[in-house]
Amino acid sequence: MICRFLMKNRSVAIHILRFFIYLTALIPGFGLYIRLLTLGVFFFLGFIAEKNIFSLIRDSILVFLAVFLFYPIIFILREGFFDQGHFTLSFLFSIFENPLTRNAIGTSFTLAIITVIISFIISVPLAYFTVKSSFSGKAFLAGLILLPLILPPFVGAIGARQLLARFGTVNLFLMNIGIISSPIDFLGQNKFWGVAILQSLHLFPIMYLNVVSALANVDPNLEDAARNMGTPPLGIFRKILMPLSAPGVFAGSIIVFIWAFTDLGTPLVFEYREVVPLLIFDRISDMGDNPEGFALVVMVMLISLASYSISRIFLKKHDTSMLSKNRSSAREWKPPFIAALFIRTLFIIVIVISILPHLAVILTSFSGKWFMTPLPETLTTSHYSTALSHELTVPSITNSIIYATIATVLDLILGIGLAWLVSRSKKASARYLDILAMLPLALPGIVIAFGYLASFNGSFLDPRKDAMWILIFAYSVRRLPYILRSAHAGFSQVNDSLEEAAVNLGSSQTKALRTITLPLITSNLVAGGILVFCFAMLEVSDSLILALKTNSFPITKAIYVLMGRVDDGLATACALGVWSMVFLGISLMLANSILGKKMGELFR
Amino acid sequence: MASVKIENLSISYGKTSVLENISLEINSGEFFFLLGPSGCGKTTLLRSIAGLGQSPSDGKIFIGEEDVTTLPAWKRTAPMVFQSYALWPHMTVLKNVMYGLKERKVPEKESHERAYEVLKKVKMDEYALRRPSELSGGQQQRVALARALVIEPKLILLDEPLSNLDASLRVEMRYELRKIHDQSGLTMLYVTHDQEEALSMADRIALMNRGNIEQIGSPVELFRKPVSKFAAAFMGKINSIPGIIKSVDEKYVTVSTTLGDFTADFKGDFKQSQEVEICIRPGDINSGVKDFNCFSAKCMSSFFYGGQTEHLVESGDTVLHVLSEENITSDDFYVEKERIMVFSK
Repeated sequence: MICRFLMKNRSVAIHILRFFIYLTALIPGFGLYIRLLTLGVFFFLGFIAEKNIFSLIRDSILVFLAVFLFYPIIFILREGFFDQGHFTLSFLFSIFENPLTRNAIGTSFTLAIITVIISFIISVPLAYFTVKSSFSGKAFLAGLILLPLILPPFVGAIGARQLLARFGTVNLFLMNIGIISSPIDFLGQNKFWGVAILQSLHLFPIMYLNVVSALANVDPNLEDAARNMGTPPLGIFRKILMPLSAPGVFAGSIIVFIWAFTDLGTPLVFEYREVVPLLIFDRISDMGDNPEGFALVVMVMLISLASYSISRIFLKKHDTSMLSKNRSSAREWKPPFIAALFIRTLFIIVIVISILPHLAVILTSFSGKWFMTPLPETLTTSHYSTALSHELTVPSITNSIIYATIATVLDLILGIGLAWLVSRSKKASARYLDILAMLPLALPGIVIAFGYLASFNGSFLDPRKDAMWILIFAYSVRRLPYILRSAHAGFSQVNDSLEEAAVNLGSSQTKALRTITLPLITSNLVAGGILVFCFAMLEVSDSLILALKTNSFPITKAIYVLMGRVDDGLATACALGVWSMVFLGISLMLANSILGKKMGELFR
Repeated sequence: MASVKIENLSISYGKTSVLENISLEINSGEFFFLLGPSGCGKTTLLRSIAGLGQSPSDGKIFIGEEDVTTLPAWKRTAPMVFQSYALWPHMTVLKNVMYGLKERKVPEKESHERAYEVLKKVKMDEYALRRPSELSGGQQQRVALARALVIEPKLILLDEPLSNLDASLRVEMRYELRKIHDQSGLTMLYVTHDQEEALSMADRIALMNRGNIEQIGSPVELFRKPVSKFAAAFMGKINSIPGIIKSVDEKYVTVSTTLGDFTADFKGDFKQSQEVEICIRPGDINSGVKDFNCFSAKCMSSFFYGGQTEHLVESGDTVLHVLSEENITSDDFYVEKERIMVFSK
């Protein structure tokens, strides 16, 4: 009977067959060639069964995700849960039994929570003033707030280390003016707080962007209604703004939490070894014999996925942004002179503190002789020319630009295709595909990098041979969500009927997309592309873990390696950092000016 | 000019069916209206003729002699005027209008001339180089119309084209659309939920309800001889009074109600003692005494509309709306036999 049903419904049969072929391609153990061949069959069957552009896009993305997302995850899960073919929870339990790993998990967890709290405290007032008040220079200051995002935190950490060292700038300065008599040990006993503060200073812009877009999403009419009922300003914040923006703020907190929980760069520079990402980093060399690395990665992955899912569900359940149809634009309060001055000062203080580590990086990059003095004794620009001529840095700059460019192009192609699919085809399958492609937001770089290193072992993509393509794919998988979100935002602004009108007058679907919709959403695509490019340029965990050979080093790995060299390695590393900082700063401010308040929605 | 024929068309979104087994023939050169409340499937039907949206699960669509059921939208020549106008914001008015000609490989110079010609026809030639965002709603509407007209189609589809205009402009555009239709002789298929628009402009109307066609006919037929209470109520205000069939003969049906007996010249399958409703339009209740269909009622309140006055009159528990040209002086009213509609309950 089942047979007859399948004969009758050929397409159902093909879909079921394709589903199993797809699953087969995800089984660990086959070589990469066999896997690609299987996926090729999957793709071909889909093509002959449906022969339309939608299924073509869908299948390309499914194949891409299968190779570079699902398979590495499944590989990690197998290594974390199977002992010689038998399912076991003992690996996972053992990391909670081992006091070293147990303490690290506790520390990382506390660290992430503290980071979320500090970033929240910094962001909320700034975000509130950004959305609700208008004062001259606001756009400029709001752009500067994003500065900390533009450098890999671990480069900032180099600067911070320079400032906070036993005989670093801060201690020497305090001692010179006589506030303290002996140096404070910032980097010893109190490393935890050093890392927490530095991570907060790096991550609070994400929180800020989320709070801004959450507040901007609250219909001002709702506030007016409350005002009309006699609610004073503070009451409006507490009773209207807070509850309505809570889901967005919560989503932002989760992202900050995941990033802080899995940040490798900052603790690495501070040599704070008692956190989970560093334990994983240390287990990479013996991943073949020791399942502990896999178990830790599985744990990190499960925690990230769980918290991400919770925030998605929460966001969906409480989505109030679309409730009212006749929204008015935000009403901005024009503060009197003194208040405006106060607000500006607040912005400036936060900006200065948050870029202090980066300023220290700049200072270090110019320093000639610098020993036991608050500021360098002599200044020089020689590190900058070294940074652009060193045998390690020159290829790394070219590499990074090549990797980031290809990753951006790849993401643009996949992201536009998928976003178009999701917004134009009303099928539920498109929405599920969208959820799958958004998963990388919740997957820390360290998980993906670890998975790639383990699962592509021995294949032609093995990073031990050449890291170029694997890094490109790692960057593009992880940043696909940003293009997807910005393209999707663009597509949903362009009314369906604009494309339909073109089809109605004789354009094919793809031509209508090309001539009508794409020109209209260029700004979204450019902004999304810039973001992807920036993040690919300053990617830390993938780059540190996957770039194993000097000739394939990207900038971040070069900085890390330079840092460890004696002589003027640190200063050269800082100079290289400054070069990339300038470059990325320009790109990011460009993206911000194009996207405006919508930028926060990219970080959910 | 092209006729449109629809045979047993069904469309469903997942499990909810939007159109059920629709059959319809639109004559060449006809100004045909699809009328119905929101969600009745009229827009889905229109879009399916253009090839947009969900493809039919069953049935056939012919434009002229050609079966277009499986033809992709971009290969059909059935230009549509969208409810939102769907003017491309990144192109000028002229570019918008020339788009369809470009797709038809019309040489640049000729399409330029044709576009200006059509823009002149809709009085928008002065605005050719503006962007859509610089135009008012009414002007955008004209451009959308020009964009459809310029490719010299045999059939034009209009999806609630006037619903985004303000009231006075909406009425004015009726005259223009009718004029364009009469001059060009185009087959025009027009979707609306506004019964006044349909009654005033249409050659024929298909009244739709819940994915089915309730009735097809001329405006007068739909207004005077509706097939159901739904149709009667949708085409204009009615007073409905419950009653029981007293007698049926070849020509007339007599219904007894709380207001007395009413004899109607109305066709239907009625039986003795059947529970029914009689429906009377407010304008069909006359002041005065006759020897049939007569009742007395007290005038409670009046609403003056300029040309006409609406009165609320009460008889027992029943409140009726009466539309008359002047004030009502007597308490007696009557209704002509052919102006009473009877529907089974």
